[in-house]
Amino acid sequence: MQEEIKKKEDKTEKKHILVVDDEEIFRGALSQMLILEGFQVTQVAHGKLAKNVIGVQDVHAVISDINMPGINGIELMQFSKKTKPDLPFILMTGFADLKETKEAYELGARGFLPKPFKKEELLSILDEWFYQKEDKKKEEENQDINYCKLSIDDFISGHEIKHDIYVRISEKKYVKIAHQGEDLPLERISSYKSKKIQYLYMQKEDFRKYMGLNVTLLPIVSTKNTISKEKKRNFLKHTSDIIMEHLHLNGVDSEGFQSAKTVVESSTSLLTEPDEMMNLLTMLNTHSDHLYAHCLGVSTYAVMIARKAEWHSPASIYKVAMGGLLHDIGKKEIPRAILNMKRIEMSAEEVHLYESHPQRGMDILGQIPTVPSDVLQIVMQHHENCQGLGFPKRLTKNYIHPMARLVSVANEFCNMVLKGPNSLNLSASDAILRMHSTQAGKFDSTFLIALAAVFKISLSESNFR
Amino acid sequence: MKETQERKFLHDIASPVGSAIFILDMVLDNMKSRPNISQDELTQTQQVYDLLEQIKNAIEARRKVLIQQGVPSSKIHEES
Repeated sequence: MQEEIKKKEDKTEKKHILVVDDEEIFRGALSQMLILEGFQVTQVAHGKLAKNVIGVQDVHAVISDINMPGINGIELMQFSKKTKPDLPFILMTGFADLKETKEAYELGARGFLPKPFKKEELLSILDEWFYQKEDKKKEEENQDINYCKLSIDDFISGHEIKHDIYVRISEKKYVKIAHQGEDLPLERISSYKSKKIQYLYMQKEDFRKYMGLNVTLLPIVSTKNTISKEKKRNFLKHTSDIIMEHLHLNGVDSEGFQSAKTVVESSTSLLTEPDEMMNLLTMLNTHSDHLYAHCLGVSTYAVMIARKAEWHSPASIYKVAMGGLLHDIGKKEIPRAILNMKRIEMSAEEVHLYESHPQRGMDILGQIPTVPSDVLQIVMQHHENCQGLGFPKRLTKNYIHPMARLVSVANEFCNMVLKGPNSLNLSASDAILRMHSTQAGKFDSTFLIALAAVFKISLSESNFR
Repeated sequence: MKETQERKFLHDIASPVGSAIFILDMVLDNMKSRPNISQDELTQTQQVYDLLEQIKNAIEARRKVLIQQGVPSSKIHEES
């Protein structure tokens, strides 16, 4: 028992929580429970006192009721966001009203607990804030730049291995499990999977050769009539994974850019049939890395939109595809822990960092002379929207490059239908109808209508302003 | 009972039920840590906790229905 208490004390070391509620018994019971869990607690009965505590004490999280006399919980949170933008804030209420929930989230509440709630519900939120995010950050920081990862599912063929393969057993420690020229039997792969191993690793130099081989094979595979469409799609997905891994790990160099170009050229010729659209969604949603799947998705849907919008120039199609594939390359400079957060969970600083990714992407690609300026504009402007409410420059429609307007439609669509931290996991048709009914003003109507046409959906012009 | 009155009722019982859950949770933890606790007492206390949990779930379920029906909270503020 003593060990358990010691463990709790270690875990919650220095975590100081401010509890704000005008109902004395509830406040006292909640505070006592948190103290028994090893937290340091300050409890106050109203918002005015809470402001003082936030201002002068080192508090790690605030748990506040919404409805209180004087300064209410939402006003207190607004104050807290101004003075300490990163301070996690949980709002509690007996109403659990949709309007209040929405307002609370928009203002940056990281948790929302309808009363009554159990200890475990609160502790799981605190645990995620204080410990799991720290663990994730540590994991990202520990990533070794000498090894590149590949999804374990890529090894299910059981064929001869062309390069040495490793498993990662701890921070910067890898164990070779298969030598070049050996077979890697399916039983061994299954055994690793049963141990929850998701990735196998190659040394960086081998990985470059492996990427080169796949890129060389891709145009051949994609045009070969004897290979099924499913196999072609899988090969395209696999090759684009490898290239995105290379670009994100090693930065964009001429070799990486040339490889991306090959993927783009192959994907634009491979995915031409309307029924391919649904298959593509399914394929992308089985992807182990949502960021790479998203880039491939945006690239291919951008091409489909361009074709439906009757853009016939191969040069334009190529630029749109390339812009789609590389539009998020600036995210390689953003910590993965932030990219894995929902936008509503981000602090003001994290939002600022996140919104810098278009500029970072343009800076990265701008160093390669062969990248067309149109592609740079796509990367820079893919988060701008026609109403002038996007980022980073808040440009309005006429100031946004047409290709960026097109890619932004594909980008939003993929955000809604593909897996990811902000995904709504909608079907294609639901996503398009939602974009049309609630966000039509954000997008260039030509491209939203063209996206709908890809899925044989007809949109009325009335929602576009 | 009018829907808005029902929402006010649900609001009014939320904190007392929540307080009771917290307090009983601590009481149960305390009882379990004692070496000579009567099993009957422990069982009965656990039953009270389970009943409170049932009330909590009933509140959540009813509130969900009311939210889906779209009863605005402003009405409750006006009434209270």
